[in-house]
Amino acid sequence: MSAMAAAGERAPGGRLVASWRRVAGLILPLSWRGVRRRKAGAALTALSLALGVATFLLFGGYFAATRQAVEGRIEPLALPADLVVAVGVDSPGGVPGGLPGGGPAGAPSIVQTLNRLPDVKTATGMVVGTAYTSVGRRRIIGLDEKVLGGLKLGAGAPPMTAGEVLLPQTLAAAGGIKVGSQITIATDMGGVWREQKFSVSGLYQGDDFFSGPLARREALAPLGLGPVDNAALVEAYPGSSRPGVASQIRSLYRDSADVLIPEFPASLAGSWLGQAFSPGNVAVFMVFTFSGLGVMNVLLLSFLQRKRQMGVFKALGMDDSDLKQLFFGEGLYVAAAGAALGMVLTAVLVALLGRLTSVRFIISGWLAAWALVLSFAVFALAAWLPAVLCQRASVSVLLQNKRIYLDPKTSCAECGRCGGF
Amino acid sequence: MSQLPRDVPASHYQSAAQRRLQRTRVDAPYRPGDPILRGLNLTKRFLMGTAPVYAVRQTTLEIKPGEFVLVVGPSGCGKTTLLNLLGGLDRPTFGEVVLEGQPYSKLDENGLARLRRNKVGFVFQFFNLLTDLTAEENVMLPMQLVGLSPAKTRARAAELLAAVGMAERAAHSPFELSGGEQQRIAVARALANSPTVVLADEPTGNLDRKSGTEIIGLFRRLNREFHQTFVVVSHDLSFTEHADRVVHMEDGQIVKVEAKTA
Repeated sequence: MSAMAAAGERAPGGRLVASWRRVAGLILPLSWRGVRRRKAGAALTALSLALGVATFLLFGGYFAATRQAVEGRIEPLALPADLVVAVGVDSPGGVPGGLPGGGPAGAPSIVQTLNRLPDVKTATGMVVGTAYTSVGRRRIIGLDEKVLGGLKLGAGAPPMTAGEVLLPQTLAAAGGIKVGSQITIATDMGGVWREQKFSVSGLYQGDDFFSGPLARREALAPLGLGPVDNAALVEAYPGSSRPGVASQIRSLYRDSADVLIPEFPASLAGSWLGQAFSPGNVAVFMVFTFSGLGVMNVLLLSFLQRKRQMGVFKALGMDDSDLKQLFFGEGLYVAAAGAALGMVLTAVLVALLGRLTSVRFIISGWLAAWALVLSFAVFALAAWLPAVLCQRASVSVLLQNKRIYLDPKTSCAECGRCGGF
Repeated sequence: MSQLPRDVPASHYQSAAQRRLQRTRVDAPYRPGDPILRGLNLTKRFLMGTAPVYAVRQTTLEIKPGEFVLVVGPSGCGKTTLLNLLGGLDRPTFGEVVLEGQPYSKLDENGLARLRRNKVGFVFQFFNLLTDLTAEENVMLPMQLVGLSPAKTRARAAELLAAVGMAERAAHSPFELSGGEQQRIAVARALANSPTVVLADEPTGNLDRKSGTEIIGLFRRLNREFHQTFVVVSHDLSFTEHADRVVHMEDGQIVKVEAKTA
């Protein structure tokens, strides 16, 4: 048997090449055979992962479409400010029936306090209240003459008297209102309605949900919204972060401040989507957790059914990294199949829902990439436990199909109360 | 297996020859002609609940190159445990195993795996062929693990299959082979990397008499033709005629060693 000496001869190439050759030529084919042998189990596992991927993509796609729709409808508020701050509207001296919250109010204190903040360039006093118009509830804002004069208008001119008001262009369009039209604005004073007629002097751009009528501050007194200033327009220094300034103001006034940023609804949608515990994220997390646990269970059972085979692998000289690669290889195949199946399932569901309902989905390449990353991460975690158990068990234990303990070298195995694996 | 009283000195169980062997330095450099495999003062203790049970008790054994050693004894006397310790499949509670000058206790699990891969061949009672693989692939696996090139692996597998008379069954799955055929494949697999020693645990235990005799005959032929060292564990005393040395075990200890004179 002259060729016996040949065992010492190794294939040419560096260590990396040899390692890759070992994985590609031996470990992955062995993993593939292991998966093929348990076709039904592997298919069910891949299906559970596919459901997780599809849920992730559908939620993600729905939120992306919703966000785009929200952002598409929002134009920046045409105010010469970075923030609108409403403070203490229900407080003594403030104005009831407006924004939520309570606390101290008063123009000098608010404006002076805000002006002392390091990132604030200027804070200008104003009055904010809730106005009821023919096209719904909006905030009515009373501004200084100087501020009103600095606005970019689409039509008309700034209010020159207390009887004039500016309206957002889209609000005017929705109500069929033009420059020069007469409108009535009402406010609720604790169950008693106060109304006042205004003449529309001009139209400004801006259509987010808190864009509303803009008037001179003194014009709001008859509506019960003045003359006490309960809010301020804040301009931040260039380079400052508006959410950062908003955070400073909120910390100043605790619960009594309502800080608005011009692109507020979009940022709200974004932050809501970004929150770890938003309903969508929780649903996706749960689906992945349960499918991950299911996958781990399947891989663990598959290992426990093949203890003897793993023992043979170890007896023949497979080391820890070979065994890890073997399990991760099996996970890789099922994860790839599950991810692909999940993508196909998503495509079918998106087409079906698009045809039957008005729900839209935007599934970007990034979202798909994240789905892939998540599915492979689930499998990497799921393959970890059987790989560790296999590594730690001695060959004779595996060959004799005995129980395996997480730590076979200490009292864990000697205690054995948990029953092991 | 039996319990070892804690207060009994080790010397009580040992022959003079065994005590002399134990004085051998485990880290002495290996020289050609030395015993290739030495199990020194091996003890393996298991716990049955809280009670310690000794499967192997202070046993010392040396295997010389090219030797065919048969370990016999009744069921449960510790033969398989001893073989597992010698092959590095299990670690002794006390004692040391040295293969070609390499003490096992100085190797971590991966080192022990490499040692098994390169220097030890195993033949099991239940064949333990991998059912996902064909006969040829089973034989190729140990060579793939050491990184032998695919062409050489295939050529050597063919040569080994021919040597055990299974060349025509190379493409068959283990399910399609009889017990005797599966054991032949297992023998070919054990020889794949030209191991220093082949350890066979009850290789005929799951075979009929005829197949069992053929397998032992195959071992003997490989031993004589290629000077391959074999340690075979069996409870069947009828195979003693094939061995150079017969080691009798009882109650976890070696009680008698019969050496054949040439």
